[in-house]
Amino acid sequence: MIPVLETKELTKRYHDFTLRAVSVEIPPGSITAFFGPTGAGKTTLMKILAHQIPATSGTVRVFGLGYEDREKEIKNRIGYVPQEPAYYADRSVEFNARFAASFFERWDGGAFYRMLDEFKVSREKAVKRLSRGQKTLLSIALALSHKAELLILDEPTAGLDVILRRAVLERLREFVADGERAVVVSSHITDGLEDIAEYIHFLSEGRLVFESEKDDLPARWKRVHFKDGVLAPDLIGQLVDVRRQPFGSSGLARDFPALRERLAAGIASGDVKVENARLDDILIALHQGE
Amino acid sequence: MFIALSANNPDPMYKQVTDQIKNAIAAGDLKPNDKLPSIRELAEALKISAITIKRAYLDLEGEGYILTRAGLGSYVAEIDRERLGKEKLTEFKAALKGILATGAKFGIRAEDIVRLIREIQED
Amino acid sequence: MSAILRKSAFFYFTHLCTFFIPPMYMLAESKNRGVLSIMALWVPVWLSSSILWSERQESYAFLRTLPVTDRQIVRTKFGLALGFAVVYWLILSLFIRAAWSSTPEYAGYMALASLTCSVSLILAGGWYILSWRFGRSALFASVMAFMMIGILATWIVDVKRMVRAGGIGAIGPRRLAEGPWIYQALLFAIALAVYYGLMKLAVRVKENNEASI
Repeated sequence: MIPVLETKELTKRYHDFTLRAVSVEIPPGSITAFFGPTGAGKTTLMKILAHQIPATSGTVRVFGLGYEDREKEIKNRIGYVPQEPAYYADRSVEFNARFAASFFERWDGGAFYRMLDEFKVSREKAVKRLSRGQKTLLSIALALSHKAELLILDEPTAGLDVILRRAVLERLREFVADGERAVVVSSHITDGLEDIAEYIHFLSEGRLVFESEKDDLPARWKRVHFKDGVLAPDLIGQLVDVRRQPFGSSGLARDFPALRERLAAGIASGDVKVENARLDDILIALHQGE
Repeated sequence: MFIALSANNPDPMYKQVTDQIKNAIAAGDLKPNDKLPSIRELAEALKISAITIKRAYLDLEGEGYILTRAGLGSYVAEIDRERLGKEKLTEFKAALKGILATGAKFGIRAEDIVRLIREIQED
Repeated sequence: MSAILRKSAFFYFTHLCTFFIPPMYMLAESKNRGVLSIMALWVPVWLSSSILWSERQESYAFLRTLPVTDRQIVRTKFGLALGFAVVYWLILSLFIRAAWSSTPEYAGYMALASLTCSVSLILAGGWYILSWRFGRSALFASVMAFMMIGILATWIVDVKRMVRAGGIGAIGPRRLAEGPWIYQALLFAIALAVYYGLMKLAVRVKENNEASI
């Protein structure tokens, strides 16, 4: 299966920060989420994927094509939602939409205005008078209105209330339901994204430090609660983010299947309890480990 | 067929789906040659990704519970009741180990548990 | 691409009108044809400020999200500046012909008009490159400085010219005025060639620079 998007050793050098050798493949029919703390390089990566800034080295191929010679074609087929959407701020939403529409080959005005209504963004308002969330919604509506095959979104849920956030996430899920299209999302908080994403990537300080199929995470990462004294020290050593409390301790296991046997007795006797690790915990543990 | 997924369940989503489909097969809600919902339909209905459903269906096919015919969909295979039963029993074994170990703390012995099982049956 | 053209052209056009009003007024008031000669020197001021005004409201960050290449954007903007420089030259030619066609100064005025339009064109290319390489604030500062100097120079020159009766034509670019028309044609050809070169450079600058975002 040809990946919808793939990068090889993508690097971007700034004088105070470097995004280093990122190599990822985005398969069709999937939602891939890039998580990471502020400053990890997520926005830089999204910008490079959408060809907003040039990379220092490495390659990006979208639909098997390169931006060097097929920029216009690729941009017609992708929808990009930036973290700080830019428009002609003094002009109305409608003007900006018509302006953008004149460049897209497969513009669907009906879909666009329906989405504006659903997102409650007024079309006559000047863009500078929109709230941050509304600007993002405008970007999302634009991205979804020209029959794009790949969506790249940078922190799309920031500034959105719970209801709109869910509406947006639901639309993303529908977008990939056909099995051919794909979505790439970046966020510094998990915020509902972990429910719809199939692949999770974690960026920290400019490097891709972790990637996993979301479905595999509950099997490998578990929070292990244990009665003090029940686990051998070397076993505890294999846990991260160990917390000691008056009534027991807990730690995060990165590879639970490997520890299962040694924990079996404890689990059976009720001195060890195991629960799924929350994605937030995993991300914090990964970040601290770096 | 009734499928409800839970984020709190220690099993990954795809395993929850396969388990619940196996349940449905065992209970008779799904009979041999019944057509399963398409991957897309089920993903839409359960609000999870099609990739997860695909994995679940692949696992079920690999274990011989369903058959996929290209272009037509997935169908329940001939049921091997004995096998279904054996698999469930293995699951019970782990749970029972836990019960026995906890019971031991309270002075409950294996015989007490067996007697309890007989009592339940007679009700 | 036509949307960018439409949007940028708006600024050039309104500037064209604005800049014509003071001279027209002065002309009507004083019946002083010498004013027309000043207009030739205003070309660079006008073109530069049009570019500044047009670029200030431009949103390249927005354009970058759309399926339009830097090459297309650069070509549109350079084409526009060229188009208006030509328009300005034609307007000047008409006025000059109307006012001085039978006078010996005619050639001089035409030469001046051609020269300033050509220089303004190159300047325009330079402004775009400056803006895309160093950012809009740099453009603003530079154009403002240039305009101050330009207006000042024009005013000074105006006074001097008035003193020395005979209008600009008398001391206009001699060579160009006295030579055959082919010299001016050559001037345009060279200017266009340089402009084309600047455009190619501008594409590379724009593609490799994040300052314009």
